[in-house]
Order: sequence, then C-alpha cells, then structure tokens
Amino acid sequence: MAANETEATVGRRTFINWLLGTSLGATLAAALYPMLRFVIPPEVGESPTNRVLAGKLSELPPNTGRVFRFGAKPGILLRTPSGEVRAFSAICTHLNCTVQYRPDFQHLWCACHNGHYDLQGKNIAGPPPRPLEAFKVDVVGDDIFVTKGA
Amino acid sequence: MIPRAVLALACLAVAATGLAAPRPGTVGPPGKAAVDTCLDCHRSLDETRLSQPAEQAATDIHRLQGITCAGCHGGDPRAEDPEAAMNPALGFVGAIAPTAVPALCSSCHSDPSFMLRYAPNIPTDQAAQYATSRHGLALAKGDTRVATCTSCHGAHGVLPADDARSPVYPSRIVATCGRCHADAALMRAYGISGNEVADYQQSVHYAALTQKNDLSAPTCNDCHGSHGATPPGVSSVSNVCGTCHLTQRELFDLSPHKEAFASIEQPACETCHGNHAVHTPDDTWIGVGKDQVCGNCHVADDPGGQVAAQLAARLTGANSAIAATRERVARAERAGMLMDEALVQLEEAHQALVLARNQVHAAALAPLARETGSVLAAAAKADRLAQAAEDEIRFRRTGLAVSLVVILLAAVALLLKTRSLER
Repeated sequence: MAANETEATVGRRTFINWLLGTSLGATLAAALYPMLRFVIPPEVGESPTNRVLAGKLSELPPNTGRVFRFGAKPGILLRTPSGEVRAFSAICTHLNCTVQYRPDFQHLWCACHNGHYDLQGKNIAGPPPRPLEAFKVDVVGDDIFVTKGA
Repeated sequence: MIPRAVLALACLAVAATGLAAPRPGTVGPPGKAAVDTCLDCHRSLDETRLSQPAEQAATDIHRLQGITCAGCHGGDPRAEDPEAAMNPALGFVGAIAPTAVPALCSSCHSDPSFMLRYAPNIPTDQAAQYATSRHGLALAKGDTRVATCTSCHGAHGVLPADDARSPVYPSRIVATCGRCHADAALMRAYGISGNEVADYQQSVHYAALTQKNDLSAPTCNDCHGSHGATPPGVSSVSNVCGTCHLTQRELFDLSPHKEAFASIEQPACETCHGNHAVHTPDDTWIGVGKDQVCGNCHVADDPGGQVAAQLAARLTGANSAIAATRERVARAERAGMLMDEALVQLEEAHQALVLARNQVHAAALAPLARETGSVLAAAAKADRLAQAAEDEIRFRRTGLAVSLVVILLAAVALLLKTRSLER
C-alpha cells in the first residue's frame, strides 16, 4: 500500500511539475509575444502623426505636385514654378474629393466639381467654400518634411 | 445710345433735388470724420424721424469719411443758425424723394475720380446697372414702391458692404430683399408669388450660408444681380448656376437634355433642381416614379426612362457598397484596428461616386458606369482590408482566450505545487 501511495505521490508531483513548467512557459510566451510584435514594425500603416516625410526635393521639379498621406488623409506637396515648396491638405473643402496640382493651370484643382485653388491654397473658382488647410514644410537636405498644425 | 429709362430717371432725379454733385464745403478730406452743426441740433430733437438720422450717423461710412449731411441734403453744415443751415438758397432739400435717390448717390458713386479719393476699390457703375434693373425701370416710370439705393444700403447709418452688420452683407441680403419680396400682398402687384424668400430659406444654399458660414454660397444677388437685379431668363439659368457648378454645366451642355429643354422652353438646371428651394440632390431623385424628376418628361418604357432606371441602379449599387464597407471598416476601427488603408480606399470610392453623380448630368450610361465601376473596385479593396482586420481580431481574441486558459492552469499548478510542498 505504502509503495502504491509513494508511486501515486511521485506521479502527481511529476504531473504538477509538468503542468507548472508548461503553463509558466506558455504564460511567459503570452507576455513576450505582444512585446515582440510591438518591437517588430507591423505590416499595417503607421498611425497618424503630425509630421511625415512627404517626398524628396529631387523628385519634385518646379510646377509639379504630388499627393502624400497623413495617416488616412491625403495631403498635397507642390513646388511652384518659381521653385518654392508648399504643402496643403489635399481634401477639397467642397465635398472632400482629393485635389491635384495642374501644371497647365499652375495651381491646384479638384476634378470632382472643377474647383480651383491658388498656390496659397486659397479657393479662387468653382464651388469650394474655403481655402485648403496649409501645412508647414521643412526641407532637410533632399527630404521634405511636412508638419500639420504648426 | 443711352437707354430712355436712364435718361428719364436722371431727369426725374435732377428735377426733384437740384443736386448733381456735392457742393464745395459739404465734403471734407477722406479719412476724417465730418463735423457739422446739423448733427448737434438733430440729436436733441424730440421727433424721432429727425433725431434718429443724427444718431445713426455715428457709424455712417460717409460721415466717417468726411461727407457732411449737407453733402446729400444741401444747406450749410457749418452754420449755427437753423435757418442758415437749412437755407434753400444753399441747395437745402430736406428729405430726399425716392425717385431722386439713385441720381443723388450716383453724383458721387458714378464719378471715378471722386471715388478714387474715398474708396478706390469699389465699382462706379452701380447707377448704370440700377437703371437697367427691374427696380430702376419701375422707378423711372414713377413707381416709388420699388427698391432704390437706400432701401438696401440704408440712408443714414450706411455701412461698407463688407461690414458684417451691413444689410447687404451676404448673410443678411435675404432678409434685406425679404423686406419687400416676402410680402406677398406687395409682390402680387408685380406678378411675384412672395414665396421666394421662404423657399430660398429651405435651400442648401441658405444652409451653407447661415449654418456653415460659407459666404460664397449664393444668395439673392448672386443669381439676380445686385444693382442690375433682374430674374435670369430661361436661357441664362445654366450660366448663373454654372458660375459655381462648372462641371455639371459642361456635362449638361453635352447631353441630349440641353436641346430638348430648350425646345420646350424649360430652364436647364431648375427643371430638376428647382430655383429658390434648391435641396441637396439625392440619388433617389433619378427615375420615373413618384417624386422622381425624370418622370416629369419620361415614362418607364421610353429610352430615357430606361436609361434613368439604369443610372439609378448603378448609383444605388455604388451607394450600398460604400455604406456596407464603411460600416464594416467602422466596426474594425471600434475593435481597435488601424484602418487607414481601408479609409483611403473608401475616400477613393467616395470620390468616384461624386464623379459618377456628376455624370448624371450627361444622361449617358457609359461614363457613369465607368465611375461606379471605380466605386465598386475601391470599396472591394476596403472590404478585403476590413475582412483581414476581422480575421486579425478573431486571431487576437483566440490568442487572448488561450492565454487566459494557460494563466489559469499556471495558477492551479502553483496552488497544487504549494500544497504538495507543504506536506
């Protein structure tokens, strides 16, 4: 009887040790996994920030523009015919379409309802009721950084 | 050649006032408020009709720019003695007759060299325009109930038109015009219903003006003209609306409706959108059913009715796709997922839908179908991203459940281990 009890005790302890080891190991893994996912950049886009690298100066010749993203929202970077770099929200103030730079007009234009904005982002023709929101532009070397709300 | 009405109006005014231009001594240098004895006396008079003008003059742009009371009323603004101040020999006329008002105002406002000294940025053709307006033409015929300069701008407390307190400031114009045009009894004599102001106040334009403070939204004068106020004719309605709605106008001009509407003398835009009570357009308007605009001319079986049905079906499909995807993306966002890429796709779908709605004005299926195809493609991309986010949410929840079970097991194991060590 005593031998049986000893065997049962040893078996139970072995099981408890196994359970403790594996569950603690799994708990540790459950804690480490999110940390690892946090350290490794996720596949989804970054969350909205107030400052983004909007483009390269060398890729933006005078009298051109390009749309970039502030999170889910579009911005537009433009270089005036005289070479100045400016950035605005690309969301048309009429019905939220995305505006574009028209080299032939030499200003910003919205395709949806033919809205026109000048190089200061001011609404000058068509239905847009307000100017485009202006962003701050910093050129660092060849990089163009755009800051919102500055 | 000067129109007969303009000549008649000018003669009438000059005969009534004897005033052509401000007399020397009645107009001071610009930028320096006028000081005259008229105000000193009139402020203290008991009769409101005589004291109120002096009180209103405190903020009057003319007084602030050096124009004395005598600049309009004649007399001597420096005389202390009332008899001398209001001497008819010095051109004093007292109250100005309505028929004389346009000529009196234009004696300065139509003189470019005079206005250059005071307000170089305002036009000087108001009187010429007024003479061609419905108001001016009626006044020339002696109808003194119609609006003259002072009816809209005020007489003694005149403010610059860009002053938000001015009765001709964009957000106040409808109330100013409405003083006469909302009076159905007065308007009946002119064959006008008097409902125009109430209708306009239900419109999307009025809402933009008053709720969004969008001063570019059209109010009365943007379509009818300011000084040359007149109703736009059938042929000019699309030009008026097309001032802002350029794309729709261009597409309409290319559509079969342009010629068809012209042949039955129907105005371009207002046939479907109305004139004063212009509501936010809705896709459900398209079709030949009850309260649908195409049904005004088409029936379900004619080619136009069939195209309308197809346009409506495409737009309904695009709307449904966007609405369903937006809801799915919103659910994923509420669950804590970052859905920027899906939101970008939804914006693209929205933009394509706006372009598709423009194409309704062309009344052709192919260009609209192209745009609704873009809507569906962008919505499908967003939907796939939302699906991936939902999968990710499920995976995370499953992981959380497994973790909790494991933690529970660890706790149980610890408890058992503690007990076994205690024995």
